[in-house]
Amino acid sequence: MTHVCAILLISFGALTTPVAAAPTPEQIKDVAHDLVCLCDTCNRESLSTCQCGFATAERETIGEMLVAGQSRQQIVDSYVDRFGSMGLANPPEGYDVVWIVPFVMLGVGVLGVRQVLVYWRRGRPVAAASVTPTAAPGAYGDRLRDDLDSFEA
Amino acid sequence: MVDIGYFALCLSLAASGYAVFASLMGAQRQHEGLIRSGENAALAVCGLYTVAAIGLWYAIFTKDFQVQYVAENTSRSQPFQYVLASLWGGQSGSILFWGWVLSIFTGATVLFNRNRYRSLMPYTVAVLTGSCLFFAVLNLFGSDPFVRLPFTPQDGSGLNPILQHPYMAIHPPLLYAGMIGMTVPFAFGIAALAARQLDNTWLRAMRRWLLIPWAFLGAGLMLGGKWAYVELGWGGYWGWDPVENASLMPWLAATALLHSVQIQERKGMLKVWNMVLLFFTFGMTIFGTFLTRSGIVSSVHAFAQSNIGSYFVVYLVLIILGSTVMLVRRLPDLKAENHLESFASRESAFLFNNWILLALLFAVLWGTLFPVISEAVTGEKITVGAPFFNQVSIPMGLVLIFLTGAGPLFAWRRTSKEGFRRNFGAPAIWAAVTLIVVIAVGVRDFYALTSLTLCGFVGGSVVLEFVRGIAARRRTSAESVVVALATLLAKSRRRYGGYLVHVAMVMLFVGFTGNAFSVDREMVLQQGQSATVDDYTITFQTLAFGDDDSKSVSAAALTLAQDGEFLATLVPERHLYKKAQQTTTEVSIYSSWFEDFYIILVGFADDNASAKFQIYVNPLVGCVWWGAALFVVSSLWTMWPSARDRRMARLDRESSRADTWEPALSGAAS
Repeated sequence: MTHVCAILLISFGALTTPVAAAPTPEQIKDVAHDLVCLCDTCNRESLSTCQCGFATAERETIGEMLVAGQSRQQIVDSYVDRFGSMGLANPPEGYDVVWIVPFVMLGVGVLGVRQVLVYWRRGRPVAAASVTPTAAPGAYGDRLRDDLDSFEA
Repeated sequence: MVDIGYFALCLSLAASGYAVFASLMGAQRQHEGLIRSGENAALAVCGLYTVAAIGLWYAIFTKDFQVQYVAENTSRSQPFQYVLASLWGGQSGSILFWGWVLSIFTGATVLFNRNRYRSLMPYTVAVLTGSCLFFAVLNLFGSDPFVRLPFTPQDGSGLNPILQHPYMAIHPPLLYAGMIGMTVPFAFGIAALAARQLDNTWLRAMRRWLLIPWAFLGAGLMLGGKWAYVELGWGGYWGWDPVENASLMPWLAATALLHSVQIQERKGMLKVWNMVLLFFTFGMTIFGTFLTRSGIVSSVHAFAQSNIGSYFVVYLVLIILGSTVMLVRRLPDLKAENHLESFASRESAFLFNNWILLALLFAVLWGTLFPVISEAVTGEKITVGAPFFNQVSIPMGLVLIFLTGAGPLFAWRRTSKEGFRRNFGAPAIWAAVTLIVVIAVGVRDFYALTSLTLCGFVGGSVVLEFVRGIAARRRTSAESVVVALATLLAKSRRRYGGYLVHVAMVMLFVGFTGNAFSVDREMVLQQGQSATVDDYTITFQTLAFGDDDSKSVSAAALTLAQDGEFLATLVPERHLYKKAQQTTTEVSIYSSWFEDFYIILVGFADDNASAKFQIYVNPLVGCVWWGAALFVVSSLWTMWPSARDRRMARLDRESSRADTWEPALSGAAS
């Protein structure tokens, strides 16, 4: 994902002379973690880990904005202003449904399993003796197999 | 050769059409000759597809750049082993490859069942060759790999550089084999419905055909992870990319099915559900392929944009409609034969297994499709990235790993209070000990603590099963512990092989948990300068540059030491592929038994005096690879025929010959 970008080697004179107030790479990554790379080929990899030219440049921009004293939210907003909500790693506000639905389904699933169990419990017992050799040939084969199973277990 | 290949593909279209027709007619008229003819046609499809694949391979090897596919996916400077991979490296070639592998599965199904499951086989063959037919149509009309250009280019553009990696030469074929192989159990399911033979025969017929693609798919997923880890250079192995998700989803569905068929085999319950799950598993393979080939979701994988989506939609609709109609018609034949004796039983445990696996599957599906759905509704393009998938799948994964340990502790039918205490006691103690140990070594992260504790629980439950099995053997015979263990593994492969798969899952989860502790550092180093990361010291020695036909290489040499002791020289590289003007990172990894030291060369200053590095220290990541290896070995072990399997196969063949199980065919066969 990362390096699919047709980038060339990066020159970064600025980085070789760190300023005392400059943010650490960790601080930059912390902000970049909320964003994704939006170059054509990287496919929305996290901006904090992507190694393509676009991502590297954007991380430098984040660093500059941090130096300028901008807040995390301001930096994220500016990225969204430039590239759209697609740049956010998580859907923006108003999309809570994306988080809720999987857990709702999880709950619905539990209810479903419970229903099935209760339904099965109500079912009439079928006596094992009712499976006679005259039953379907397949069932006979199954019994044979079960017998073999228990024989070798 | 190219023309022969094309011609063979055309013939395979005709042959698969005939195979469908002959098999269905044969089944309807109970005409053994027609059924055999259909099977032979299926074998012919396999042969013809092989010729077609060889035709394309020949064009690739001889660098016949007039063939558009060859020009787009290979080049003169491409190393030999990746020339091999060019067959499936592009869109139309991968579809040809898909059809070819499917035809091999079809041929194998026919050959293995020449004298077995005679009433199921004609329908099975019809479904399988019907699928071959679809892929031949797709190739010939939608995406033809044999199309020639009006001119012959001097050179081709070459395989995508990131795919030029040994793991990438194996990963796609494995994944394809897994996705494609799911067609066989699906075909048996449809056959059971069509032939109205809904006892356990079809389950027996399809069991191994389900295990094989399931193992392939699992191995393919993990190999893909390994590839991403060493090639993509972001320090991880799973990025929740739509294509990864597309192959994870059928694996989850198949895992659920592998568990729930056991209820049907043992108790004759869940018949309808298992059919639905089987159809769903197969549907997911096709849907996943559609998802990634149609370009409706954006993905890192190579063939996102194409026009073949509509073919898949038609195919998918046919599958859904066809299987639903068949299932509904046979509902009266799919009544449960048993009832539940107790909620605290293996039956309930399997239901909960299905619940969590499907919930996980749904969450992945939801996250993958959500951007498409929301864009259709609101018009706004958004991203559902890795944070969503991690946050949703981690809690569900923890429930899953708990059930992995708890399920086998419940007895079939009912677990008495006494049995419950006896079974859960030892694993609970293991879990508690694990918890104390991990707290003692300083782990404080909630998820990590929970995960490792649960892994201890599952480990305890598996050990308990083995201890009991060994004890039981030693009671009846004077075997040593080692012999008893070996006999146990050899005789009850399904059961104990299955437990080994559970151990593999524990190892995987331990490895996943390691992510909670990974260290991520980015730094600029001058030549000769050292830096400390965790308890490692890294010293940047020098830069070197090289050049070959296809790429320019820049490499940095660094020495790695720990506690003052030299460990290794690390050489992370950047490759610039000249043709594609594409840069790839070649990471350098130092693996110890506990963790990986992972370094990427991000770039370097114009004067080569300094370079920028990205470093990850990934604890426990080795558990993922060892777990993956154990997964492959133990799933192979589970499906390897035992003496009893061979005896059952003989029994099936004999009874098939005697026609006692096949009243429908008795007239035709005599």
